[in-house]
Amino acid sequence: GLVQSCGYIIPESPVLTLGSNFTALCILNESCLDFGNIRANQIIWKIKNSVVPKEQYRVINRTVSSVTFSDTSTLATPLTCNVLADGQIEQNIYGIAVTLGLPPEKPENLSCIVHQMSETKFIMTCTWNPGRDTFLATDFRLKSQWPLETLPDCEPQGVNNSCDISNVQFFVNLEVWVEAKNALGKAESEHIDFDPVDIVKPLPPHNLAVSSRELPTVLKLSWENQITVVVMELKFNIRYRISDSPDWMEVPPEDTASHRTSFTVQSLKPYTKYVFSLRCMKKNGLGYWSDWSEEKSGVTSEA
Amino acid sequence: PVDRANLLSSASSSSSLSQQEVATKIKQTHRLTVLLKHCSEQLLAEYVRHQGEPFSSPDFQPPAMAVPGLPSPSVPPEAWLALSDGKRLWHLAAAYTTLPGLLGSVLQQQAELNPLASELHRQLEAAARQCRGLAGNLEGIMGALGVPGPPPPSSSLGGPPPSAFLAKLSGYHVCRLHRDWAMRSHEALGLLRTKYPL
Repeated sequence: GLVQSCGYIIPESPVLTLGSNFTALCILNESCLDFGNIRANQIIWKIKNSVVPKEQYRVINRTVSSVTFSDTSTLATPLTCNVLADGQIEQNIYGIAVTLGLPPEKPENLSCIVHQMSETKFIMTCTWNPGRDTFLATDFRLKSQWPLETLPDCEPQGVNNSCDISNVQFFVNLEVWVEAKNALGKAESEHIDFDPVDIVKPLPPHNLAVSSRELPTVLKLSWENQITVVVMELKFNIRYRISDSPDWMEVPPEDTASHRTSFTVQSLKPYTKYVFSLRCMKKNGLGYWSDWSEEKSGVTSEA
Repeated sequence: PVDRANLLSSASSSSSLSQQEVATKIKQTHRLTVLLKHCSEQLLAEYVRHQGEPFSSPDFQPPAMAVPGLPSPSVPPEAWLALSDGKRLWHLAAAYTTLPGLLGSVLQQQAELNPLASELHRQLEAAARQCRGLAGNLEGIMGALGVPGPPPPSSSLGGPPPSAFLAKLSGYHVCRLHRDWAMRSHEALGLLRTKYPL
C-alpha cells in the first residue's frame, strides 16, 4: 500500500477460548527500526484505548515484544501494538480483532418424533439440548444413517436445537446423532437408533359419526383412520360426556385396544345428548397418542 | 427346517446378531415388503394415469420386457418356492440393489415428460427410498444368516430413449417389475417369517 506498516501482530485474528491464557507478539519491521529509531522495548500494548499493564509485556529481542493474558476474559477488541516515537507522539503499529468464545458442549437429550402431516406425508422432528451459549457462530447438524447408507445431513433452520427430516422411511432402522462445530472445537451427541415407525404421532381419526340404535342405552361411533393399516395397526381412547356437562368419561382402554373403525358405547342414559371424541396410537404402544379428534354428538333413543 | 438349521448354524459363526434379533429384523423387513407392495401398486396406477394413451386404456397389457440390469421375477412360483431361503434372499437383494437406480432414472424422465405430476414424482422418489431401505435390510439379514451378497448393481436405464413413447414404455416396465418384485419379496419374507418366529 501507500504506507508501509512498521510491524504486525501474530496471531492475526485469533478465536480464543474464554478463560484461557493468550500471548501475542508484535514484530517490528527492520526498516522502521532505523527510520523511526524505534525498538521493541518502546512498544505499548493497548486493549481498546486502555494500556495493558507493563508486567504483562516481555521484550523478546530488539524487534519483538510479547504480551500475555492469563485469562482472556479481560481481553477485548482491538488489541493494538503502539510505540512512543520521537517527540513522544504515540504511533499505532498494528492492531488485531480478538474473538472470544467457547467450544460447543456435547448436545444432550436427543429425541425424535414422527408427525403425520397427511395420509402419505410424515415429518420427523428431532430436538436436543444444544448446551451453553458459545458466543461464536456454531454449526449444528443432525446426522443420520441406515446400517449400510449415510443419509443427507439435516441443517436446522434458524434454530440450534431442532431439525425436521421429511424423507421418513418406516421399517428401516435409523441411527441419528447431532454434531456441533465451531472455531474452537467439535462435539457429538449420543447416537440413538430406532425404527421411525415406532415414534409416530398419527393424525387423529376423522369423519367421526355418531348414530343411535334401537337400544336406548347405546350409541355407535364410526370413523376413518388417517394412517394406513399398511404402516400400523392402531389402538384407541374414546371419551364422552353428556353435552351439558364438562366431565369426560372414558371407554376402558382394554375395550379399544385393537384396530377398528367403529365402536358401540354402552350403558348410556336414554334420550340423552352425548359428545364424543377419540384419539389413536400404534397398537403396540410404541409412539405417541394423536391429538383428540373433532367432537361429535349424538342422542340416544327414547326408552 | 433343514434349510433353516443350516442357515442358523452358519449364521452364528458369521454375525453377532442373536436369533431374536434376526427374527426381529425379518419381521421388520416383512412389514417393509407389505408397505412396498401397497405403494408399488399405487405407483403403477399413478404412473399409468399420467402417460396418456395407450397406457391408460384398460386393455393395455404389453408383454413383459426385460430391463437391463434388473433380474426378472418371472421364475415360476413352484421353482421360486423350491429355492433355498438363501437363494431367494440373494435374488431379492440383486433386484433391490438395482431398482433404486432404475426408479431414479424413471423419475428423471417423468420430470421432463410430466413436469407437473408432483404426486407421481413423490411416489417414484419414495419407491426408490423404500427399495434402498429394503436392500439394506436384506443385506443385514443375509449377513446374519451367512448368505453371500449380490454383485454391485448396474443402476440406470442407459442412454436417453429415442422417443417419448419408448421412454414412457421403459418407465412402465420398471414400475411393473417394481410391483412384481414387491409381491415376490412380500411372499418370500412371509415365508421366512414363519421360519423365524419371534
